Order: sequence, then C-alpha cells, then structure tokens
Amino acid sequence: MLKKDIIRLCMLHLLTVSDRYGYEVLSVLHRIFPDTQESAIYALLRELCREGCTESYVGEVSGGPARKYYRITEPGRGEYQRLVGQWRALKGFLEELGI
Amino acid sequence: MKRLGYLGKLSLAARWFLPQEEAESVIEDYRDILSEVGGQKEAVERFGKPWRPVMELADNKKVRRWHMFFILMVFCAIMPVLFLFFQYVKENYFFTMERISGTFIWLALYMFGLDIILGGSNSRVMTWISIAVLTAVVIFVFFLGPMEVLEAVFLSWVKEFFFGKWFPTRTYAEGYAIIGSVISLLYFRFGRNRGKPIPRLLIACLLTAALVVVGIYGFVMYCFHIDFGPMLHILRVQIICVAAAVLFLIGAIVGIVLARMYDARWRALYIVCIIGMVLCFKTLSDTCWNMSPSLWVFVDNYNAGIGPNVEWVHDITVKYAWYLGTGTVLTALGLL
Repeated sequence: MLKKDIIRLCMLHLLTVSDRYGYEVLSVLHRIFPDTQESAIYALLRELCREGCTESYVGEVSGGPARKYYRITEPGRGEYQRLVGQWRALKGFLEELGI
Repeated sequence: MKRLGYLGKLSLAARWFLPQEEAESVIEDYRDILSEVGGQKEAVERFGKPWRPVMELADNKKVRRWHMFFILMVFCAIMPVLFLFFQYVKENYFFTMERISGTFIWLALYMFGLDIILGGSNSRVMTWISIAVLTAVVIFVFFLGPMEVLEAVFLSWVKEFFFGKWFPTRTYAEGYAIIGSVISLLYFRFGRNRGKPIPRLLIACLLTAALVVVGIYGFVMYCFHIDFGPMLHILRVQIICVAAAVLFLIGAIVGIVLARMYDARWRALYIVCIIGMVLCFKTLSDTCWNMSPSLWVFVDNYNAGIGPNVEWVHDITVKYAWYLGTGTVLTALGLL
C-alpha cells in the first residue's frame, strides 16, 4: 500500500464522516502528512472526483461565502471499503512481524 | 494584493497547461483555498511555486501534444516572415531554408504521429507496426523532398483547379498558411464556446487585421487595374509589407496563446494574420518587377516599364482573390 493510497483512504474517511470543503480537507491531511505538499493532496482530491469517488457542490454557509464542498459517492464508499481492507491486511502483517 | 499575485500566476499556468474547463475549475478551487491562506509567502510554503499545483494535475501526454501543436502553428506563422528576410537579405539561403523547414515540419508531424500512437494504443504489436510504417513513410518522403510532396498533396490540384495550369511555387508561404490554419482548426475543435458571445477585443483585433489585409489587397488591385504608378515605389512598398508581415506575425502568436488560454475562437485572429502574411509576402515577391524575374515571362518586353500586360493582371487578380477567399472561409470556420 503506497502513501498515495493511505492519503486517499484518509480523504475518503474524512468524507464519510461529513461533507467538507477543499481547504478543510487539505489542512487536516497536511497536519497528518506534513512532508507532503498541499498541492499534491489537492491533486489527489481532484483525482477522486474525476474517478467518481467524490462529487462537489456549492454549499451555503451562514454569514460566510458560498464554498465548494466535497461529498463521498457510492463508488467512493466501495473504494473506501477496498482501501480499508488493504490497510487492515497490511496492519496485520506488520503486527505479525512484531513492528 | 500579494495573494492575487499568486492566484494570478497560478491562473496563467492553469490556462496554459490544463484543458479549458479543468483550468477554470482549478482556478475557482484555489481562489477558495487561498482566501484562507495568510499571504503569498505562506502560499508558496504550503503549495509550492504557483505552477506547482498545476503541474501536479497536468497530464504530461496532453501537455506534450499541446506544445507540439503550438510549435507547429508558430512555425507555420514564422516561416513566411523568415523567408522574407532570407530572400531579400541573402538570396542564396532561400532554397536551403525551404529544405530545412520542410524537413522540420515533417519531423514535427512524425513526432506527433508517434505521440498519438504511443498515447492511444495498448497493443505492443500494433504500436511497433505503426512506428515501422510511419518511419518508412517519413524516410521515403525525405528522399522525395518534403516540400515537394507537401505541394503535391496540398497545392498542385488546387492550382490546376483554380488557375487551369500548374506553375512552380516560388515560395511555400501559402502552404504554411493553409497547414497552420488547418492545424489550428483541428486542435481547438469546434463549438466548445457556442452560445457565448464573441469577446469584443477579438472582434476589434479581427477588424483591425482584416482592415490591413483588405488595404494590401486593395492597393495591389488598384495598382494592377487602375494605376500601376504607386507600385513602382518599390522600397516604400517593401517597407510597408515587411512591417505589416511582422505585425501579422505578432498578431498570429497572440491569437494562438489567447485561443489556448481564454477562448478557442481567438484562432480566427491567428488564421487571418497568417493569410495577411501571405498577402504581404506575395506582394513583395510577385509584384515587384525587378524582384521577381520569373514573372518577366508574363510581361510584354517591348512595353516593359509601362505596366503589366493583360495575362499578368489576370494572374495576379485570380491569385489574390484565391488568398482572400481562402482566408475568409478559414477565418469564418475559426469563429465556430
């Protein structure tokens, strides 16, 4: 499992919890992966959108400007489950090795 | 202000490297994101230089293809002007340049063909067969002479059809103009901006360029049909034509850049400018008596010095009408 997949997994996980706007996703993930530039994280967010795993809509915020929000789609949930499975398997192997 | 600077540069990079719809969407996203960021310094620290976010999203194959098209279109616009200078500054270079430029255009088309095959085919066998066939064709064409083949493919039947006879092309300016126009029409495709009003600046630029084109056309027609006197001021005519050709070259390059970055219909400016260049070029090479010895055959030598004879007038009139007509049709297509 590559770092790219782990970031995708985290992104999809964040979106299963609630819809989020772009900057929010970038900030949270950059805190977890500080050595990955936010532009690269944004590219992954767009990739998920292009693949149909997420979709965007313009959301109204009371007192603030309208923002573009991202939400997970049905194919996105499938991809999320696949990545969670991979992550758990990897975690299991690492534990077997005593890491 | 500083934040706008970062977004401005990012927008330019996005419009250059990404397809138009995607570029607009990315710019919109970054406008939102950067509104939360402290300033330009912070933006650079977090996202890298302004082109970095764009390069993360760019499809290298598409970027390479766009650059290949761009080079071909610029090449087709530059060659007529280069011919002008080489022809008049150092006559010996003229024919050499034709060969070199012909080879270059074939190489570019070859690379483009390879790019399409390698980018679009998943079959290894088909890829190698295509590469072998394409290479053989290109080598064969090199032996024949690239410009001669281009002329045979694109121009000889046109000459037969419109002029009723074949004649050697003294320059290939019109060939480049037609190839450039067709490439720009193919690359930018049609109808993507249908429904949107044509930008006012584009209309103004087109009218200006068209005015210069019609001015040159009108001048030549006036000289050949009413009074040949003004044409005898060769040096002035040359200076005006060279200046106009250089301005057309600048207009053509601006047209391609704006077609890519803002609205595909800017290619109409590119087309009208390269056709304008051809008219300037032809005016220089075809209408100056002592500059174009090949045309002496059309002149009645016993009356030389008074004016062109009927055959020459007819030849020039039909040829210029053909350039103007082709240019008008291609420009109109460019606005679709």
